[in-house]
Amino acid sequence: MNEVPLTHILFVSTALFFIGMYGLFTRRNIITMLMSIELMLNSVNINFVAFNKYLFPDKLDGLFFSLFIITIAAAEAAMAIAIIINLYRSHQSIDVDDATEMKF
Amino acid sequence: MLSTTPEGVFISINSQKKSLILFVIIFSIFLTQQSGKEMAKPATSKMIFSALAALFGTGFTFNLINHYGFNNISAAPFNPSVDEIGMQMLSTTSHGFILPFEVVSMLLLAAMVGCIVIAMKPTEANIVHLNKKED
Repeated sequence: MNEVPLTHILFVSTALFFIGMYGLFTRRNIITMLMSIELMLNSVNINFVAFNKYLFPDKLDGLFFSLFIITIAAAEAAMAIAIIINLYRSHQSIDVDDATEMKF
Repeated sequence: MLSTTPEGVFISINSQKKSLILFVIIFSIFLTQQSGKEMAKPATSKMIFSALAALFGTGFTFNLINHYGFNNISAAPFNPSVDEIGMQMLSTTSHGFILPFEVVSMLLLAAMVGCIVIAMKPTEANIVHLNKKED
């Protein structure tokens, strides 16, 4: 069988997830942190579709899960950006270290 | 094509909302570009710690995946065509996804209305009210 094995796809999604995690830990800009979260969500989507294709090819449930995850991620990103716009208005900055009012 | 069938119309309405949100993301990146320039670089210790954590996590997961061995790979054909997805997405039978589809579309609508409300510029009356609170 000259198909790509399932483990290789899982390697890609693992790498994507931890790249997202690294970005989330090191970045200070809220929008790039949001993009990192998006990377992590996308790695989960890859996992869903890969498991669907390789382990349960007669069903489409994994595909639907990833479709709904994309939708929820869009709603989440929209909410986060609205909050960021408000934060930028009140602090004149999108650095997470500048918004310390809710730290404790 | 897609938009000639009822499923296609519904799905394209949903995807239009999603692409709208993508535009908002891109605009907000452009608008806050200047703010990011004057930001200091993250602390070296933080970067080293995060890199180590990410590398450890990657290695650990790679190891797990390598040793698990997914044996029960079935040989049935996988048919992820748009036809199939659209039919199942809007079917009302026991394997249909019409209810989550509708719920998610309401959620998207609510999220977008909420975004507009949150991101709206405060009116004069609100500003006076806020100033009074600060005093």
